[in-house]
Amino acid sequence: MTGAICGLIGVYIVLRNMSYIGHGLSHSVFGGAVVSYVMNWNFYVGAGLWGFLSALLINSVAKRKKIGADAVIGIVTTASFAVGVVLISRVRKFTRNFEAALFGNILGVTTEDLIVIAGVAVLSALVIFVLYKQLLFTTFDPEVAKVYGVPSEWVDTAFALVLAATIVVSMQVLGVMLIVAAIVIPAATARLLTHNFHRLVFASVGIGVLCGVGGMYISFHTNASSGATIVLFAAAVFAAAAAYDSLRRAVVRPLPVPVAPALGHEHSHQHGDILHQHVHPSLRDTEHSHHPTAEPPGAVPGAPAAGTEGNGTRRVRVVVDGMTCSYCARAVERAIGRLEGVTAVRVDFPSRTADVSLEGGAVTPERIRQAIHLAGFRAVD
Amino acid sequence: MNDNGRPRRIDGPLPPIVQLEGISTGYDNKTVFEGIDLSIPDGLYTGIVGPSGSGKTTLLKVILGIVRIATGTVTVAGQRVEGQTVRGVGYVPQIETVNWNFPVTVEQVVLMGRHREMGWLPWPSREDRRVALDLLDHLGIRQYANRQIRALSGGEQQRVFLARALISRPRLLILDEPTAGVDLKTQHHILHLLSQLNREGVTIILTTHDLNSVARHLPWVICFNRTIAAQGDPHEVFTSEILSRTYNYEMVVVRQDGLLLIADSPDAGTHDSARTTRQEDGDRDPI
Repeated sequence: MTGAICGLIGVYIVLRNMSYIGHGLSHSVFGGAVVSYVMNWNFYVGAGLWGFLSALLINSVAKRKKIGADAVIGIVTTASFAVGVVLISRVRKFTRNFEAALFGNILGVTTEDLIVIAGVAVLSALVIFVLYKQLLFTTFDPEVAKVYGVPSEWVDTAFALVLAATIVVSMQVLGVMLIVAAIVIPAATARLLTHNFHRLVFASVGIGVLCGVGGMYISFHTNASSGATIVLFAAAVFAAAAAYDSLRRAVVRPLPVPVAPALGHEHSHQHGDILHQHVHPSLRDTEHSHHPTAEPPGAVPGAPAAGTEGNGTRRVRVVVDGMTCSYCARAVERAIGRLEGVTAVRVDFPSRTADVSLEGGAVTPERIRQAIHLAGFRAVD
Repeated sequence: MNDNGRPRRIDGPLPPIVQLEGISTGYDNKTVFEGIDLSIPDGLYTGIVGPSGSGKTTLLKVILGIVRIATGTVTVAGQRVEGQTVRGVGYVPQIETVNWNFPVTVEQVVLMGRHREMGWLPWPSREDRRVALDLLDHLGIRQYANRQIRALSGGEQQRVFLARALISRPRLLILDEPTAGVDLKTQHHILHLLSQLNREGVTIILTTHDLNSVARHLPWVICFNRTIAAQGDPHEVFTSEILSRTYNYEMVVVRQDGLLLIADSPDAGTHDSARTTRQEDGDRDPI
């Protein structure tokens, strides 16, 4: 269970480059644990509150940017840890509890602890479930997330709360010194295996559980410290994933050749509206030519095969407005050339004119004007 | 954006969609600019040009409301901007600011732009995905929907972030250097795409270093270097005098067949003139 929450939280910690904050915070919480012991407060309330306040303090000081976040973490959390050490040395009442806090002791976990761990796990999962999209956005791109109305400060605070709670409950099992490994390793391992954020979250939780169960199993059989064994087991899993990843890279894998990425300039003149994609169904058939044809400009792309040869050819000149470069001229050329009955078309950019040769009565000036309009330009009389 | 999807006609003066009055701002006690007044009419397709460090990006962030301003008021689409972006504004940041190693797919990035419309579940609905994929299709990058964002070319990456901005159907689109780092053809492609959006009624403001593209594609330009040096039709505004003043560097404008060609002065690269330019810079106050 601890593995699962740590895996979940770890995703964001690793992606926010906040690994150090997890490490620091666990030290800080130790101070809180000692204080609450000395003052006879409930461990969870005291340590949790302390951890949460430390997280907020780090966040707010780090925002000033003058001092790096890592330096701030170093100051706040070691000071807090030192408070714990000073108190212990003054009171001189070492109990098992503190040893457990430092190195973790799975056997010391009581039913009450289990209930609290379960509660925190459910709460964390719930917070992350509800804030999933916002957390992803601010983690990826904090500034743009703000533009799109993500209340970054609020989301960060909620996340700090979840993080502090996770660390406090994991402390009993893993201990101050080892907690960061349980948070970072599953997420880092999962990162090696996938590029997809959704999968990353699931993989990280899964790996967290796997490491927790696997590590516990080994520690039970070898009679070694539970926290340390879990961390060592997790590190081994990470190493295996890293080896797999480099193996995968080493195998020369020719990248699949992408389908022509529709970069042809003509495509900027796609005729469908971008924002109103379904407004003009009639436009869709003009879009079929997604692959630029090999015809030279001015050729006769849309000419009818069975053309009536002879004297029916007329010439029309249209002035086109809105062209900004010679590429535009080509786009207009193509649009007009697609009309049935057009035998030749030449659009001259500098003089902004389109010379069209017509055959038969199918093409009216109105249809040419329409074609120009659909290509995104204007025909001037 | 009007309802029938037809291009909006520009008949007479339109109300401004962006209105800056007496804006001063800066970082860490260093002023970036002071007393800026700027009004951008609805439906305009405009480019902001100016040297590096002239405050172009900051100006965009002022409009977005993500930079604290010392004095003045910002109004976007009739609403006062106070530390929060007005809805209906799309933003495409500088492509270098993106964390390319982040494990997200193209589709996941695009759907970020829609998070407010998506309900409270973590995963997108079928409708959300359809909208995202349709948009990617129209931008010609649907086949990359499940790729990690790094595994795309510069022009494709630019379109991913354009898609993220477009998915919320903005009235105003703000782009920071959309043509940086891509080849000429892709630059043209992006600017044409934007020009098509503009015809559909979206007001567009972008920054760029590419003066030749601006001259060719954009109907309006603002020369900016800590103050508005000039604004108007690039064919009128882009003169050697105005550009040299904006960039504090000698620039030459060539006009031929209705086209503008902007270059630095023929002898600007030589040793002597570089030295003299620098000396002049030292004496002169920054504009």
